[in-house]
Amino acid sequence: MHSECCKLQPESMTSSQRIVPYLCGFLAVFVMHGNAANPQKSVMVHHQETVQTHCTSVSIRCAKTVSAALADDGRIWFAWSNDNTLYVNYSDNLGETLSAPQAITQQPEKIAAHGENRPKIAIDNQNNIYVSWIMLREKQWTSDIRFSYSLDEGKTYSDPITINDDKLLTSHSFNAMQVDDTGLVSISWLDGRDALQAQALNQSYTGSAIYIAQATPRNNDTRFINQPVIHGSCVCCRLAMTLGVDRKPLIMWRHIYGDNFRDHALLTFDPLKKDISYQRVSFEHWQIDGCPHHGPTLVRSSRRIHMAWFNNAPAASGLFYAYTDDLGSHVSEVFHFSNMDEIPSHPQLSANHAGQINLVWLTFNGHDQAVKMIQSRDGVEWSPPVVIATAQGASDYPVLIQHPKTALLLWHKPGQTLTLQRINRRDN
Amino acid sequence: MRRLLALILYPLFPPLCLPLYAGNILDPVLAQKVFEDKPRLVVLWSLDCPPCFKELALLEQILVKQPNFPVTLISTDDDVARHAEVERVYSQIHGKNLKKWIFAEMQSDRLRYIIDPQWYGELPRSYFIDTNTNKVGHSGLLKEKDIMAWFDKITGNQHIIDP
Repeated sequence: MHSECCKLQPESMTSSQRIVPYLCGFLAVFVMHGNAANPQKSVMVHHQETVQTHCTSVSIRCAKTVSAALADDGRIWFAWSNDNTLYVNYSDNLGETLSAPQAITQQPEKIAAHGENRPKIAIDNQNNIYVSWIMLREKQWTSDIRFSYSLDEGKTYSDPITINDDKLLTSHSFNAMQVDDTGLVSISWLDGRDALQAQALNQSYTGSAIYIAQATPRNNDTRFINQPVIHGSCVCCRLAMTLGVDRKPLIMWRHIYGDNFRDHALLTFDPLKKDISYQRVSFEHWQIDGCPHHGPTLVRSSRRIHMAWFNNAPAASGLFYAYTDDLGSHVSEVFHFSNMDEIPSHPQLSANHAGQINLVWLTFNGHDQAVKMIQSRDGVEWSPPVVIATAQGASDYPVLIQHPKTALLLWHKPGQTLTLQRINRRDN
Repeated sequence: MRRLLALILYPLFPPLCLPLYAGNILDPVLAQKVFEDKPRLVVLWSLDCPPCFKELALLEQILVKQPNFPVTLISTDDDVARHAEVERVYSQIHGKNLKKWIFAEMQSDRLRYIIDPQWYGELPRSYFIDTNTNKVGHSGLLKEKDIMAWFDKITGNQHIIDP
């Protein structure tokens, strides 16, 4: 009960003064308990109910967010957290049953697992498993990038290590991760060390930096030397990362251009190049001195990079798609595939081995959420949008898994059994 | 009935009872009424929004100078696990005409829609509500001069407003 008035009573209070706090307390209980018809109205009642209803079991059902990755053998791996523990489990039958959760962290760690900030999992071509996540630190907006891996197909995991090497109490967040066919793991993230250092020197600094670190754990290499990539990224939007034809990491993010115009940019990271150039790939000119909480998505199919994002500029708002065949030097005509009438958000792209591109996103009509999908072979012509799933209540973002048998929609609803939905469209 | 009783009795002890509203849960029913108080500045923010804290700091400064400034703060952190953090933030901000809310658990989509179907979740999000006009939404940080210009306008430069 939040009753400052009722906590302490000075010795010199009169009898009526002593009664007042108790009356306040009574009124608080009375009013708040009266809200029990809708328990969430009252902080006090809600906390009591929270103790009773908080999901404490070790189950993916308790996770607020779920990330997934597909192994070459068709096993689908999941990474999620609950109660300060990171878990991994898998399914061999397209989600019909899941293995028992395996704790990756043996000591409690506060793990970021909401919205765009969540654990990541990747599987290499030898079925080695890599997991990265954000460990929240003691001060607000301070966090570290954590990493663990398994070289025995998930039987055991390495002790978690911290990837950012600055040892500074600052923000390291929104991690993205890829692993190539040589086992090279690339982790990129938003890093606050440069902003912190600029602040200490009374210098101005815009947004966040993006850092990347690479290593090959399956060759006993976990050095993960940190390398700055760019400065001036939006501080609260996820990164999107994939691998180019040459296996070099491609990173897409929301950048801060000029006076807070938050459009998207794309770069290729080449560790041998000192100067990293990046290309602007969205041009809606959304000017906002704040947090959009909306990062982009991208996928590569052959040489074509497919990109989708959210923007809310006065003249251009909703979800947008474009592709590039030359790493962002030239960008196709933009396809405005969802406008604000359907309150769209969080698009996600995937590509199968046949070059089929799937693009899903969330919509909301005030009561129900829906996942819509469009498909294309080349990013030029798209199928009409169709609703592939609907739900009431809270949900995670839609995630696509390109299983060899069929494309799957992972659309997790906290508190509910996780299910994977087959997407039966075209070749999937 | 209970609320009516509280409304009758609370005013008898307002200086001592105000801290009871350190952070109330905003559910879809209550969200319908967020803009009924006029005039008022409504500011939505989140623990995950660093720029929001610049805005909260600015409002804190304004409230020190203008304790009657009418403002409603709404945290969009719809996760009970984060309530303690939100409460810590709210404990730093005081005002005679200040209301504080927290989004109900896992209801952010519905609440955003009720508050404003034209708002898509970007933060900070604010609304200037005049006595006679509709609410005007703004995404991103507010400037102090704009806040005070609005306050001047609604109070006729007198800066007197009944809580």
